[in-house]
Amino acid sequence: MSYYRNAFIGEALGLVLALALSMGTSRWQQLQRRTLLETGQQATQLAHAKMLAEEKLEKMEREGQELLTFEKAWDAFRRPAPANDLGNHLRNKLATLATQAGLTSEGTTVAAEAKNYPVGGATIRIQEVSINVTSESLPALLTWLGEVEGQFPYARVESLSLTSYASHSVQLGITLYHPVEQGERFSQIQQSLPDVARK
Amino acid sequence: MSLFLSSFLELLNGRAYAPHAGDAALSLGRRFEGESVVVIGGGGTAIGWTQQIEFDRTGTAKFSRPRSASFKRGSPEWREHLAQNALVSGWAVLLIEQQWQATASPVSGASFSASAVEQMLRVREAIADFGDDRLSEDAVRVAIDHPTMDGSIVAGVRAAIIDSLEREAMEAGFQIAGIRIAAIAILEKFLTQLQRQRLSPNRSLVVFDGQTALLVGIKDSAFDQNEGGVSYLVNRPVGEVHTQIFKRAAAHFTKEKDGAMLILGQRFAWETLKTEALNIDFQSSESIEAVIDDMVRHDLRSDLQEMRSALPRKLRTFIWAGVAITGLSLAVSACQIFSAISLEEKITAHRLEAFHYRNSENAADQHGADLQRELDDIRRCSEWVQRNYHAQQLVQELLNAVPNEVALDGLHVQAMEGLSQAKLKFTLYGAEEAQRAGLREMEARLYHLGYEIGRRDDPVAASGRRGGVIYAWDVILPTFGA
Repeated sequence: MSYYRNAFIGEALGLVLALALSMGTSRWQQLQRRTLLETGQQATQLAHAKMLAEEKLEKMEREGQELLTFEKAWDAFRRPAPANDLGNHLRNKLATLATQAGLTSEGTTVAAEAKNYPVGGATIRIQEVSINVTSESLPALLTWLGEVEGQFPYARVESLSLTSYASHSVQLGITLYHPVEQGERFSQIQQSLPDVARK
Repeated sequence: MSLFLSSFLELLNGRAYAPHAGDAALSLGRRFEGESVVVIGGGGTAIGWTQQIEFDRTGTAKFSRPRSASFKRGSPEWREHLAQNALVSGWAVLLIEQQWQATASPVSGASFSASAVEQMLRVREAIADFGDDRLSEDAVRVAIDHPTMDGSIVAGVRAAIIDSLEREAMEAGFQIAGIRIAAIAILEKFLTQLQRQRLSPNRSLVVFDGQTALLVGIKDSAFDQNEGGVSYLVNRPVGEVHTQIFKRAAAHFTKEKDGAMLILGQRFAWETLKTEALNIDFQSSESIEAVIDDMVRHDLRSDLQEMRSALPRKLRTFIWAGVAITGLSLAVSACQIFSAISLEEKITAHRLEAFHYRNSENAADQHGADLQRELDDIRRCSEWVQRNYHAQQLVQELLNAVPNEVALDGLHVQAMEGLSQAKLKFTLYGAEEAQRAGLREMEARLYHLGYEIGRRDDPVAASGRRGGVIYAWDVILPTFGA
């Protein structure tokens, strides 16, 4: 019997190890099954979340269709310019239009920096430019004003002053508020339309 | 490691449950179940015969015809004969019929150990107990115990003879299953039978194996320890052995006893003895039968050692059950590992799927956030545009509304920050009636353009030029559709 002692011990050890291995692999398999279930549930939840996010996006696009249509209609009128150059751009353009119309311009001021302006519960950044133009021809002044509004459809005449003088000259002073577009989207538009911006 | 593997292999292939062929503790029948063995009879300088014995599954022996092999030991013919027999069976039992010695000892081999093998080994070592001047110093001894009392018959063969016999057999290809003395085997068989029956020999014994004889005197049922109590007749012609048996029996046994004798082994001319008025019984037994008998254990092999014993056959079921369970567990483990790996692939697929969904969700969320910002941007822009007004049109309509009799000066429009309203302030000069007409026309045109007048401040007389009245209205700007 002693001759086979090692063989018995070996077989017993083998049996124990095989059973332990079997139990271990069984446990591993159970863990894998549980993990599979969890990852499956997670995938399902994420698929649902993805569907919800896409539905939300579709809904947003559907509901924002009116705004997008507005943007499309007004996109043609955009004359974007870098925010820091907008004031000078406006001043120069106003002065140029005045010169072209035979008007005398003076007292042109540009705000040092853009300021916040409340709009419907939100705020936008606007650049303020003031100019006084003088002419003996009232129609010329009004034509100039129309030209300014046509050139800058986003600009709002925040204040207007029309005054006549004894010298039969008429002075038209306006203060323009022009929104400064900002953010990534605008930057992208700027980058994609550099030539348009310069024009 | 190889010992472990071989022993484990024996557990599986069944050899562990059969006795080891070289195990001296078991009978030849047990050791060679289903196999065969060659018995080589002789010894000394010549070999007399060989005989093959086949054992069936129950250990029952089937004898082939003995083949005479009267060769001189070491001769080419003898070697050739051995080699031919070795091809038939790889195991040999050397049966010594010559050159053995015997004496009596007051000590039993069983007093040393219950184990047959250990007993034989101790007998070889304890020369003081089992020595006698009739035994050579280098003799390999065996002790056949008295069935009920202390004392044994010690037989021996010189170690040189044993070694040469073993060497020749092994050189021929044999493995040695046992080396026995034919006469001692017959005696051992007889005494073991008595032992099992709890009997003692009651008469003197003569053992004759056909070549040699052993005379064992029995005195008061014990072995006669006196001089001549035990004697042997070897290395003599058979005829002389017969004569000597007659002489010694007649001279010794009849004096000590009542003439009763038991002759064991091969028949010979015992009628002659009977005539001497001896009370003789004869128990016939072939030496070959005694050699393989279950009751015979003595063995003179030089490398006698205890072999591993056979395991109980029922243990095989447990061994195989253990192996089967181990194999089954390993198979189950393999399946589980395969399954777990397969599951891992599915888990990875799910994780990739989840990753894809998460990315898509994030992309949709990001797109939604971008769109939201864009829409907010557009909405503010839309609000801004809706709150704008056409300044040129406003001024032009107001100027056109003023009749010729009235002069308009100092027109101021001041939008209210954050509101769709503006403060409209102007000065009219002219007759009061004409001013009112002008004011009505201005109001009409404002309404026509979509403006509304929210509040009218009280007119104030203008300083300076006479007849001037300053009017201030809060007008609500028209809302443009986006």
